[in-house]
Amino acid sequence: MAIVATPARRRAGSRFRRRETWLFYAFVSPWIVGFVVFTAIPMIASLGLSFTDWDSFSTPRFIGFDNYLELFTEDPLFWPALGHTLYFAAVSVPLSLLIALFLANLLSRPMRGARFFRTVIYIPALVPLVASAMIFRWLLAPQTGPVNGFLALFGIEGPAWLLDEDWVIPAIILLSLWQVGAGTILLIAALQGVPPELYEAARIDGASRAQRFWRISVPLVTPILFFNLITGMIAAFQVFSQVYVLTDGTSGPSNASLMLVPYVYDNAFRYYHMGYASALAWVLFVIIMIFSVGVLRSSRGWVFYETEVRR
Amino acid sequence: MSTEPLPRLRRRRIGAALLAAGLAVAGLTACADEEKPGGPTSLTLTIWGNANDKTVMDQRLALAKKALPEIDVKLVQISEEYNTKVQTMFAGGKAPDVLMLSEEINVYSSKGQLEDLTPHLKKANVDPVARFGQGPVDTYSTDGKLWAAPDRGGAMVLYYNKAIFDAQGVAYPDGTWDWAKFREAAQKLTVREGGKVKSWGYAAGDWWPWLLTWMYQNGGSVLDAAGKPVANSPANVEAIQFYNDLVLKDRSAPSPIDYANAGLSNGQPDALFAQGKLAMGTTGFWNIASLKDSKLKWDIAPLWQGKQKAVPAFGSGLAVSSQSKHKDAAARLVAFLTSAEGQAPIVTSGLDVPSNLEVVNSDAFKKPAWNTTGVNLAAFTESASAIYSPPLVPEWNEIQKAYTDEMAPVWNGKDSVQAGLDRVQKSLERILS
Repeated sequence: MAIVATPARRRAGSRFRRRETWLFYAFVSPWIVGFVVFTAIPMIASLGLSFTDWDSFSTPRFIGFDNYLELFTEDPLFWPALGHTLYFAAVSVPLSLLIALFLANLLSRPMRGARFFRTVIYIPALVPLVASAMIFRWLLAPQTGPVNGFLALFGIEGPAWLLDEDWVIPAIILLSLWQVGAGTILLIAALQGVPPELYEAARIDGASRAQRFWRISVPLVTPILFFNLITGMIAAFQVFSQVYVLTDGTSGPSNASLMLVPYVYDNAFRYYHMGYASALAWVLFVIIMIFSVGVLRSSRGWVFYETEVRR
Repeated sequence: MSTEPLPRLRRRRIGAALLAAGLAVAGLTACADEEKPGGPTSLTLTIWGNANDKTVMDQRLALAKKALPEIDVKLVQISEEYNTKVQTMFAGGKAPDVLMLSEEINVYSSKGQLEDLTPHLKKANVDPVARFGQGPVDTYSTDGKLWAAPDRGGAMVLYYNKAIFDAQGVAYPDGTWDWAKFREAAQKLTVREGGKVKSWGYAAGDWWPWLLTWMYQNGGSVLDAAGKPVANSPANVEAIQFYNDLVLKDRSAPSPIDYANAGLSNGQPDALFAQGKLAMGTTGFWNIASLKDSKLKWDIAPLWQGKQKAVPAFGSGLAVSSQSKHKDAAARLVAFLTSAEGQAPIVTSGLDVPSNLEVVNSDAFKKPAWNTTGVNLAAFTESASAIYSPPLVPEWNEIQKAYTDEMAPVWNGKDSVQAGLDRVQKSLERILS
């Protein structure tokens, strides 16, 4: 079907469109200004600075790729910091997803006290991280802490957690798991949005509870799982406050909990190696980019949007 | 009223990394250098600290105005991220004329940002060593140049709980104890009940003033005279071994695990002391304010001594910026503020130990009106001559971090002192290369 617009109509339409375009830019301008001033320019500047030796205050000295060379070949702390960050991300992100999904599945059912439990689950996400970390220090105290007290009931001698090189990262993971409430709330909403007739039809066809969960619930909430995965992964790579508070601003026993962002922070603001910190930040940026693109690519295979028709 | 020193606070503080944006915006409080010809010279002075610190500095500046009517001082207090903000002022060419500085002194001096005070003080007929003592002068000097006049914060002293001493029948400490006597006392003063420690004999942690005290008392140091690291020298190994034996062998001082069990992070003797769970702890003047109203029976004494006397000090100095257009006036202000007259408010307010030895030796300091409980303030006076000077090189923060990181397994008994210090040595060699 061909529609031939009269010249007059086209003119009116384009005027409207131009006005709309203008309004669009007017409304997004606060964001654009914020992005350019506080993100884009500092990012470009930091890329430039990553090729310099700069203490933040005097004149930067151009040194080419020296920072990157030192980072990859000489710095004894870069690889451990990267390894710890990957370890933290690889365990905490999938675990929080699974736990959030499990809790959401329990709490999305109509039952007595559901509101109460939802609130309880969400409260940790509202508690300031510093306060949570303080509580965790107490919970994880080697001999007097409740966690090890609980383990002792089963005859297990709990580790010294924050003071033990092997257990400090699991302790930080525990703290991050304590805050699954935010992801859980999103998943509850998504699960409740699944049309009940799908479950009904499946039940009539004889699908078991597990089958209904894995074949109906999970696929229909994959967009939310995907969202939680991406944001959780980026947050995990950028973990800072947990480490900073739990291990006293240092990096745990023998650098056992040294992560990339605290390392960037130390270099930039405590050791006055801003150029080197910029190089570290860019390496981290590229790593996060690679992982994000990987997850985005893979999402085509497993994320299902109801509105989308698969070909 | 506690005036816990800034770097200690910073170590514990949760800093958020507001990268470049923060730098661009932070502390561009311009300090105008406007001056009417013939009018008073206008100077800017930056300090950190709390409201109390500001009140006392205001009092001192009021005295300065009387003594030096030709100088007007604008006081700028920067309580958060002091060094970042002041360095930003330097980078913008708007540096303060006079600035309070502490452990980061040589971050500034190594960039040529400070004025050597030696000729200025000479002109004012002030002999720095006579006024402040050798240790504090060395702390703020490199290559014979004095980058700041010591201003506040004297020696750290031994706080002791009299009740525990009395109960265990140990004579009060008096600064003459050697290591063996100290160790024996710490053992006797550790009170156990049913296998559990009820109160510890001594408590410290991995903060540098504590560690370096053992090292310096044993003739060791972090850097040698040429500035090369000597972290694993035999004297240092022996010293740290002695300290760690108090903790792990004698169990008369808490380990990091014991601290964690008490809900504390490593190295918080003040908290244990305030709870009555500690017989002896090494702390600075600032702890007096927190203990003044406590029900404990306590007092202070000079530290014990090793092969030689060595006492840590913690405080701040006043420096003149090399950017200042009025270096002469700025130096005169510093000379006045560190004179007996200029330091008087520090004493009357009970804020801190003054750096001026004349004041520290005076009855005004030893017997101030606020000292109603009769704390032995002379302990600070007696300690002043033994103050050692830590190696405040520009890389000082990294050096401290190396000790914290590499020694952690040693404090937990997982590694030998020798191995830990060998690793520190390797780190320091890299940091200082």
